[in-house]
Amino acid sequence: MTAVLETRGLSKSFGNKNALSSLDLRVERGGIHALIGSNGAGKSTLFRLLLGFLTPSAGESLLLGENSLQLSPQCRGRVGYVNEEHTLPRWLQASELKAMQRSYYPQWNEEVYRNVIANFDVDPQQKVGSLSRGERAGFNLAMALAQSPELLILDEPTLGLDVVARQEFLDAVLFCTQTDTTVIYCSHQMEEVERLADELIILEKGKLRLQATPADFSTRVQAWIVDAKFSAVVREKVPNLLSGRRIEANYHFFVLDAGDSFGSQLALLGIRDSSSAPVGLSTAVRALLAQNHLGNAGSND
Amino acid sequence: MFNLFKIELLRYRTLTLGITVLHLAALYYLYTRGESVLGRLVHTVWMMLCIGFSAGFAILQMSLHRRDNYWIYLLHRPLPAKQIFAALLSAGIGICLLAMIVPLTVMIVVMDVDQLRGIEARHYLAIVNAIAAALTAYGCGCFAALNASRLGFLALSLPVAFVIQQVNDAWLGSGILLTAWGLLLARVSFQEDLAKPAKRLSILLLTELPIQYGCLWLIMVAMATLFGVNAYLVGEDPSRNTQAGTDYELRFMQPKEVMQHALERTTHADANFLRQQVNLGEAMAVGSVGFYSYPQRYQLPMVDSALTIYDPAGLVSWQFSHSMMLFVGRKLSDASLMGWLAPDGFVAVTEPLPVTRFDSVPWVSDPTFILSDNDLYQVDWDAQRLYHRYHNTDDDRFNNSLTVGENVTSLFSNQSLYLFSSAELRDPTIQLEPKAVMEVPPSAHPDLNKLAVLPLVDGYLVSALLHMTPTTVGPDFAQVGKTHLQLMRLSQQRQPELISDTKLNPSLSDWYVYKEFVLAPGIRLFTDLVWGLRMHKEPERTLPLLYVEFPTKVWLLAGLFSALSAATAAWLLRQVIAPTKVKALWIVLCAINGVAALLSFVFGYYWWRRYELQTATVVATKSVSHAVTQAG
Repeated sequence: MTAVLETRGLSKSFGNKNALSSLDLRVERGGIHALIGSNGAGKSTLFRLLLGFLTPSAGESLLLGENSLQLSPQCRGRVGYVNEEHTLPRWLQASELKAMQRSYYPQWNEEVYRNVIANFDVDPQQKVGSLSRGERAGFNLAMALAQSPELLILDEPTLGLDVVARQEFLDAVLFCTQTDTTVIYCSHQMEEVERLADELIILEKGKLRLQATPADFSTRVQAWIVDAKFSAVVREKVPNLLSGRRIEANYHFFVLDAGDSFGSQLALLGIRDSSSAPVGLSTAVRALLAQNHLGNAGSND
Repeated sequence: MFNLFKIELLRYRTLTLGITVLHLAALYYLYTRGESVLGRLVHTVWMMLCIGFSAGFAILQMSLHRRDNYWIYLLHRPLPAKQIFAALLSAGIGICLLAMIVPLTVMIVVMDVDQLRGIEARHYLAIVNAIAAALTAYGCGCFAALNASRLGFLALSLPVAFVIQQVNDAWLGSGILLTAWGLLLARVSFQEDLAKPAKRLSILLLTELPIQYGCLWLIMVAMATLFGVNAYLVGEDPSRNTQAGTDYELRFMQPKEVMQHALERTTHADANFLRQQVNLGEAMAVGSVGFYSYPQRYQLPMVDSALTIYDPAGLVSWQFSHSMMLFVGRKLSDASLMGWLAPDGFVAVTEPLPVTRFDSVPWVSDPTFILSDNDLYQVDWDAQRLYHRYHNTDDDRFNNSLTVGENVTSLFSNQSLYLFSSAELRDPTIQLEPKAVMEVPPSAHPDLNKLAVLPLVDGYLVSALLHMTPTTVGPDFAQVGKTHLQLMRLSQQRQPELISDTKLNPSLSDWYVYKEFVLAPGIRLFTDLVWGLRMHKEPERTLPLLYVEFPTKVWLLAGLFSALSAATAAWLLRQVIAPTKVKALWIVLCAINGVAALLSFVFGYYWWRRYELQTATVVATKSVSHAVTQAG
């Protein structure tokens, strides 16, 4: 398979702050890839670097095989980008804007546009500025998909949308699975990620923390409950501890790649009364991100 | 590309139309009040507004686009960036032209149709000049909004040059040059990564020069403010020498006081006698030689301050035509053509056009006198006659300094001061001859506004403050320390006699005179060169470094500031990731342009991390990142 995007040792620093640090990432063609990370993880910086709007401090990035700093107009035509603000010319009518977009993209697919826009109540004669946020998001997505992009980057596109609009938007994104478009979907909404993602890419403090399928990842994270008196032992002795919290008389914690014999390992540490519980994707991601977010696992118990 | 152009025009249609209509209404209102948009004062204000609007609009337009997501939306499309830039530029320029130039053009056409204003082809050149100014301002505005340097707004000093209109053959050339510069600034700042400083040396140099020039001005303004505050609080102005006997002290004296001052410092045998004469007589300040004193054919119309003469009896306006080189008379009431006024006199409209024309663009001095380069004419409105009163040699060139006093009339040429009897001047039947002629060296011309004349029993006493240190910023180095108060006796019979020659202390302190040179020697010398060439100044004022002896302390200070700036830049650049040649250029720029260049680097780029800083963490995290990825 060929990669739609690839970064090699990609770094970007703003003064002394490293937004991205030697990021080596390869995203294969096809499917929906969810890019996850807490605020400041470097997601938006990564997009700007990929699209050539930032110059890396070190390393390089390739988008559809082209160096990001020298993207040709043709390559840009193959990459759709939808941002959280849905920045569209607000003073134009929807039909005028669509006509303009259509003129840029020879591969424009009117059928896709009609299929997607049907989910949203957008009057073609309406000014873009008077569309609701949800309608504007849908309109933006419909145009982006109609461009028949090989790669579609969605940067927190559902931010600020109500439940209904978000649902419609996600349905529209799922429409991509019927096309050849590869989607990079960036969101903080784990239920969206859970629903859409074929692959998880987790960034943390400018570094790639994890790249795996949701199913794989979920199985690698385990939740355990032990007596609260063992919290100190857990924090000190358990390897790959992600996070922990004391709840009443128990200590709840998450571990990564603990394996099937983790219960026995706990027993060896003198913790005999322990139990594990299945972990959902959102909980697993939250636990993973919490590890370094807190600085020290379980520090809030 | 056309679509982008169209939507950009549509975006500002209401604003543009509103401003166009308001602008047109304002110009028409002025027109009905008798104020022409091509008059010097109105046009200067208009040019400032035109430049302000164009630059302001460019800043607004580009600032709305440059916001992160909007910038990506604009540029991430299957079009080359240069086409996107061309679309935005065309739309922006179109809006500036519509809002600013169209109303101006309409008004000039209206005045042309009206006929009374004597509009001719050269008046339409004002439109070309205004377009150049608007385009330059627009380009600099784009640069201010988009450039990587946070001090990019200082490049707005570039279009200000259009406000200072010069009447010389280079105005159109320099205008086009400035326009090209302004648009180039806009183009080079239009890039995907806005925070990326220029890496090509030529681009870096072109973008830096106006910024560093602006930096120097900022320093000057800050210093002037500090000096002003100091003067207010302490009572001393560090920019001035406080001791007596400076030209600043004499600047505010009455002409007779200046003469007495000179006579008190001479041992001339007639000093006492002359003092009595000064006490009894009436001294007259000689009319100044203005900035626009030498008109050129087809000059820009905004310096037509004295090209119209009015017949008070016949209510006819006689407007000088550059294309015909004679005055065209039109009735004030209905603008009907009344005839022509040529060197040979009045010619009625029923007669053929006069053959003899003025050989140079004349000045109208008051309702009765007309001055061309070599001739003085007097009009008798009642008799409808034109008298040729005086002709000077072809080497001389009169300017618009005719001052008619009670007894004495003075007139400057570019070489001499002519003194006539006012009584003789008023009688057109008398063959007019100067009572005295005093040679005035060309180098004294910049400050000819401090001459005074007092009639004596047997001639004239003339006081002259020569080589005055100008009060404006950046006095010519060639003038520093040369201020003299001279007192001369003139008469028809004798050669001019120097009665007194007093050297005056310069009123400005050395620091004030040399501050620009000390803080930014390159900029100061470059400015002298450009203005010297443009204004046809003498070599010592154009290239002072070759002719003027600078005080040792000035050299030392300038060298110290430049060396410190270059050393500081070199030290800061150690951590910067940039090509070696770029770093070298910055160090050279700081060495040449001193503090101004250093300010531009530090506060334009370095402070805001516009140049990448190579930090240890970036390098260190590389291996860690691999390990973490594998762990994941």
